[in-house]
Amino acid sequence: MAQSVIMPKSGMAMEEGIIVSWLKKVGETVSPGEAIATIETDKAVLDLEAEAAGTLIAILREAGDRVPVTQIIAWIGKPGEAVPESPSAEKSQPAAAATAPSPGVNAGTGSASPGGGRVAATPAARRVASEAGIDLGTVPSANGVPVAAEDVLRYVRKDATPLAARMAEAAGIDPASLAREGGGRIRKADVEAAAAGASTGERLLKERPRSGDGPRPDSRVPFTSIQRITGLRLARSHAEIPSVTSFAQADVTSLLAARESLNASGGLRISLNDLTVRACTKALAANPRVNAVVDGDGLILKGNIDIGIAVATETGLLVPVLRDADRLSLPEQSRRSRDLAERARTRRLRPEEFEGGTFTVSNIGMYGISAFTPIINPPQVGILGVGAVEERLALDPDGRPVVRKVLNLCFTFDHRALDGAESSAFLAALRDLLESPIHLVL
Amino acid sequence: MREMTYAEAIREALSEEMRRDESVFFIGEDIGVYGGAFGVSKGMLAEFGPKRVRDTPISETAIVGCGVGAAMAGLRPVVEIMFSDFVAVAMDQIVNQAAKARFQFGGQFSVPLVIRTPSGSGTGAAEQHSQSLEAWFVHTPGIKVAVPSTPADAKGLLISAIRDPNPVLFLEQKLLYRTKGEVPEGDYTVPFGQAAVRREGRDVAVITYGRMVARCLEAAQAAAAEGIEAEVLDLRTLAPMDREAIIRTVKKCGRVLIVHEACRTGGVGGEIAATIADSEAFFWLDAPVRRLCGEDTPIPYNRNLEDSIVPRVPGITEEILRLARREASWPRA
Repeated sequence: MAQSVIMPKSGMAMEEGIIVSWLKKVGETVSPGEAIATIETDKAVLDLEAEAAGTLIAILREAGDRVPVTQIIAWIGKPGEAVPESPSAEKSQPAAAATAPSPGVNAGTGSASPGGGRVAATPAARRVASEAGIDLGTVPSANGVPVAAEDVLRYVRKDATPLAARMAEAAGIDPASLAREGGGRIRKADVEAAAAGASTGERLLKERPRSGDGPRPDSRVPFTSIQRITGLRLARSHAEIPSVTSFAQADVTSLLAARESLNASGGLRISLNDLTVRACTKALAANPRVNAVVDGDGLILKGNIDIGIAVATETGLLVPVLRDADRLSLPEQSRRSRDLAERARTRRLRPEEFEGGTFTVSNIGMYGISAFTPIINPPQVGILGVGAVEERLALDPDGRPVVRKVLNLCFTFDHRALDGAESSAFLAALRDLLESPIHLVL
Repeated sequence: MREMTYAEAIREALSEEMRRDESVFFIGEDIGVYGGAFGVSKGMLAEFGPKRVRDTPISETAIVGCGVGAAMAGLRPVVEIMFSDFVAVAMDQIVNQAAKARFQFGGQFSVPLVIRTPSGSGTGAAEQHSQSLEAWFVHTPGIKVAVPSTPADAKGLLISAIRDPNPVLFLEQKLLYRTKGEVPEGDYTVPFGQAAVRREGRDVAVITYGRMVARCLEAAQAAAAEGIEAEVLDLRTLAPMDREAIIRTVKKCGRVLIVHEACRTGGVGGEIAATIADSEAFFWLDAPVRRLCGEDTPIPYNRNLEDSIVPRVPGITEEILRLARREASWPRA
């Protein structure tokens, strides 16, 4: 009796998946636990493992197809065995397949499709392409020479570091205009220098010369599956939740000094975001109604403190969850956050690593943004937006002007769950913690 | 710092160790009265006397065998084989005795023996006096292999070899004997298994050792004039081999050129390439690994032919540039 292979449901929110590639061909034997296909869910790329032993006797849906969860996509049986009638497969809508290819799935060239011949590329090019989540088949290479890492880098981020590329994008600077003398990758400092050196207007004039007459063509860029899912959730959150955003400024002068001496003591790479997350865990512990989820007409105060950390990736926003954040030592918390962020960017997170957060932190301070109003990630009741560190003139106790460094905190909360006093108590606690770093290490 | 030749640095290392340690002695063909075929041991007979600097009959088996026995009995012999090609005569003593004794006797004996011998082509001495045979011994567990590329390394590595409790094949580079370089005074060692980055670069990793180091540096200089920065890694010892340094330079540069004088097939370059292929460095490779080696042929007597079969500076430069510019071509199956 043949066994069906279905599109798995690998997360609560998953409704469909894309078959990225088949790793086995019809006629090949498979054993339980062996990877037979690669599946793209809304959040990650996963291996689909066989549950039965036997021969792959039929593949019903091809690489590139978008398939609803639980629908049959293949059959495993004995060699020569007839493929069972598959009502769900008949009911499927082939027209829905592959209408909106997402990056990572090659729709254009077909050169990376299974059995269709691999793209000639160096191991380094494959590594870089895989980390960036793009298909090598789409990368142009000069004169038929095998694709090298530099081709991929140029294609993906115009030779900039991921951080520099994101900053450049946010600042509206074309990374190609930042080419370094003598080569080398474009880094954060290059983008900062460029941003400081030219006003936005100057840059826009430079980048979009008003040359030529006639219309310039539009182009349509389909949402990635991550962007589609995120968009649905954000729209629902924004429409349904009566949210309010409060702002506070924390004087982080001594916190930054403490961080510097911590990192200088060797081995550590504690970021300001690590410290902000840590302050959040302590403020949440003291304000349990903020560490909660909405459940119908009540709140569930969560026992654990699991912090979702928003990460911008090439294919969209991801929010991996740092579990039990308040029980981690600072170095461990920092290491895990970095690991989650890195794997989010390379799309190597497991589905369960996205689920069950009790609070979210979104930091866009690296772009120099002062403040913003983040949207709640339901069913959570709050989200903290973190802006840039800015310098302010202040008076010291003797009345002399001094420069202080302040951090903008933006706390969006669900007004059904928290009233003004409760939310302000949390935000004030958070500010106080950031202003007295000694309490962070306790 | 003072300068001296590669040969003088070897003599200084050997003499300093003989002054420091009574159990060190030196035997070989024509090393005493004549001062060695390449003049390395000139004056040593006068200083140390015929008991510690001893001329031997023409029998490599007897020379190495004497060294193995003396080493097992507690002395620290340094033996010289006049040309490295002649190690073939003493192969059983080196491969089956010296390399095995410690293991065979469960650690009750060790063989602190150094076999010094000149290696390489370029002297017009033809097939039986010009080979580079290091791969035979890298393939023999139990023996260490050093290939110094500078006078300073020749001294430091030889002192390490003499103090090492295990047998060491010390492959001196014939054509380097008269080259000069800075050599620190007094007692210092260069540890085995620690490669040296002779030139920093980022475009192409050139991995080499021995006489080819100088040629690779010259080639890297020429490539730099074209805007290509090659990193030159000198392995210094081939057993043990500094695999971490190899992986490091490959991860840094992504493109690799391996250069050695010994013939290509079965050469150490294959081992270096395999080290890259089965390590994490593989994922940083941005071009196939390229080898420039001696041709697979006995060394010819004709000087023009002899010169043409080992890697030369223009050829190395061209390979570096072609790798960096992605113009290199590879044999197809």
